[in-house]
Amino acid sequence: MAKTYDFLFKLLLIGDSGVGKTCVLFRFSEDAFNSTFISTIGIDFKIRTIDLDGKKIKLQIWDTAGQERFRTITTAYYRGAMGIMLVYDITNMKSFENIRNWIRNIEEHASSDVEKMILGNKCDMDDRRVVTKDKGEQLAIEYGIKFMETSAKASINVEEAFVTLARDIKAKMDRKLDTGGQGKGSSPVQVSGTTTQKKREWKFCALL
Amino acid sequence: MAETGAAVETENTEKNAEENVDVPAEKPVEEPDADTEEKVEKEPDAAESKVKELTDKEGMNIKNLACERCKSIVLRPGLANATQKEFFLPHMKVKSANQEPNDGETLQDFWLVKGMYTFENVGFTNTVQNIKYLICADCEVGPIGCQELQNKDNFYVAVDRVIYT
Repeated sequence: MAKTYDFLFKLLLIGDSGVGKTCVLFRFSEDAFNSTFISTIGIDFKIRTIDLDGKKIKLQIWDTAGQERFRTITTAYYRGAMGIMLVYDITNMKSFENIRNWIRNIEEHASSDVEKMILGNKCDMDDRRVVTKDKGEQLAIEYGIKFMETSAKASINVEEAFVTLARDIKAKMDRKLDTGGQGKGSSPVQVSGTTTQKKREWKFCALL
Repeated sequence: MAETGAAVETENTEKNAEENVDVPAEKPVEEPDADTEEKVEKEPDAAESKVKELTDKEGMNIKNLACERCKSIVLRPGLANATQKEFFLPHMKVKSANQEPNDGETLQDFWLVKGMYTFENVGFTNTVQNIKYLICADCEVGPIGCQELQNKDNFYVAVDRVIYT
């Protein structure tokens, strides 16, 4: 069968527990349409398809699914990831402050050229906001990465965020090809700046 | 890159096998009672004509497969083969107050999809008793189908659990 995509990007969602990475997950679980089966066993990952400049991009999106509670997010989880969404909850100051720790964790364990983006998730609760949009923007500027506020309820914002991240990954790939890298264009994940060679190996758990 | 994807799948299968999750065992299809036999015979005919309307000469889907609740596109036309196969799937909807999470039904009409990246938008559950179920990537309703045990590259979407757009 013909290949149904031009690029495949692996993305991760990182952040404290309860920031709404899985907000979307339980969005509809209360009503009669959903039986409890899916929420009981949980979601592993998702495939989403977006269009970027006429190219079909498949996104494979993984969530830490609570692993962060046990501080077990290490190199294994980051392997092969081309993009990382750092998610905090605008109603939870601690989750915002911890973004710095997550960035440190990424710098320590992930490929050095992984694309990052900060998401202030609100899950539709603007009246309980404690982190201003300005603060989020400032943090992103400090690290030189992009920032967006999203609402998991209006999932269109979430999609915009994924498109933005995917566009940055693709732009990075294109730049690498232009500057005459290996010329093969095979892997956009280039492990550099680290002493230990990271193997492409996948050991993940669940997703948004 | 698709090869890398296959590796992902295998690794996860091992890692996510959650022992404690109570999941329906594969149930044999119940023998129809003598007095319901006639009714049972009619059903495949209706299903057959429905599938016929939805397929081209090669048995491929001519329309998008979409989520019946949020209309999210699961699969584009021409990518799945209409297939007869038996899988037990837990119910998507709460049908009665005393419904258990694992209550479900055995279905016969499926779309066979080769490879996880063939899907437009889809979610995969954690693996339980070696099975991964498929859900809508947007509203997460499901299961709309499952992965084949023997061939992890084969995915089956239930004909009656999606709409056609």
